[in-house]
Amino acid sequence: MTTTCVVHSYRGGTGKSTTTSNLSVLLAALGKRVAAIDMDITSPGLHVIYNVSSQMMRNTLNDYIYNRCEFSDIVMDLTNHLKLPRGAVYFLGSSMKPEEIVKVIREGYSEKFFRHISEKLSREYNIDYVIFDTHPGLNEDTLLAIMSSDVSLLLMRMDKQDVTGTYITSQILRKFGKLSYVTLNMVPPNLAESSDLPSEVSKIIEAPVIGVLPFYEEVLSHRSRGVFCLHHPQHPYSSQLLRVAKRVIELTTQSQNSMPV
Amino acid sequence: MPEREFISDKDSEMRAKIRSIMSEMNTDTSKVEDVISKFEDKLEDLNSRLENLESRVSKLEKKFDLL
Repeated sequence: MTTTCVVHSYRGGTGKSTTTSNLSVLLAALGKRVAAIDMDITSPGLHVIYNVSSQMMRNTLNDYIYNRCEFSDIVMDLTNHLKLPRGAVYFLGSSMKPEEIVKVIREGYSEKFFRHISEKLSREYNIDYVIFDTHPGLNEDTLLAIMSSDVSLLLMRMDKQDVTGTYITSQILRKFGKLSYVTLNMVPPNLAESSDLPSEVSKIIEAPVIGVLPFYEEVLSHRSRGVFCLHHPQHPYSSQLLRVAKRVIELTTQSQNSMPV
Repeated sequence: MPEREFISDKDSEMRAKIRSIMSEMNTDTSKVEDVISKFEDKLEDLNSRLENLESRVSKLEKKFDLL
């Protein structure tokens, strides 16, 4: 069964693409088949972290929407490219051409689009997890992606603006009948040591916190040189995010098991 | 080639639902301010607890050095 997961945040710069790319390889390390989709349509950048060149990414989601290519043309198998020993990672990129970006923003995606992509990936690529890396904020296209997904992972930094935005976002998602899970990102290292932090923040923002990722200069500086966890598997960031990946698997397994047969 | 059915549904049912829910949120701004205030208080509390812990660890380390 394929689970669709949205990595989202209220504000930009919270580490959505870094988290998406690292989460995808960690889920693969746990034996899962993962597809990461760059839905940050106004500023796509996931391909940079995966080291996917424009020559490699000949077709994008935009080409598929406008019927310029087949589905298989936009699905890139990065398993060998990333030298993954287990599982699999596929990548579907968005166009970086300004004219394509403007067109897709103006016209918007159909609600059928997300379900169609997930179903194709499930049926044709036997994918366990589809991860949508979204555009920040509360725009309609992002909310469509969230509404079409099984799990929403909200990234939040430890500042007032992010707290406000994450609280409001989780309240909105609740109105949509969607439970969101929060991961605290770029947490000051001394604060991240507090074992009470996840439960205390959960109480305040009224949403479950499933992970705490401290701020590491190494992760920030590594950003455009590949997927951090692959280069530094023993780094505390990798082990903390691995816990989040395991938690995501637990949560989705629980929700699948509780579904009526 | 005809375009696939993945665009131009600006008036779709789900989009209408999104707009409706968003415009009827009636966000309680005083509640939001309360969340921020609680968050700031909690951060201060956690930081002071950590500082306290660090100072106790440091004292213990000094004590052990003396033994």
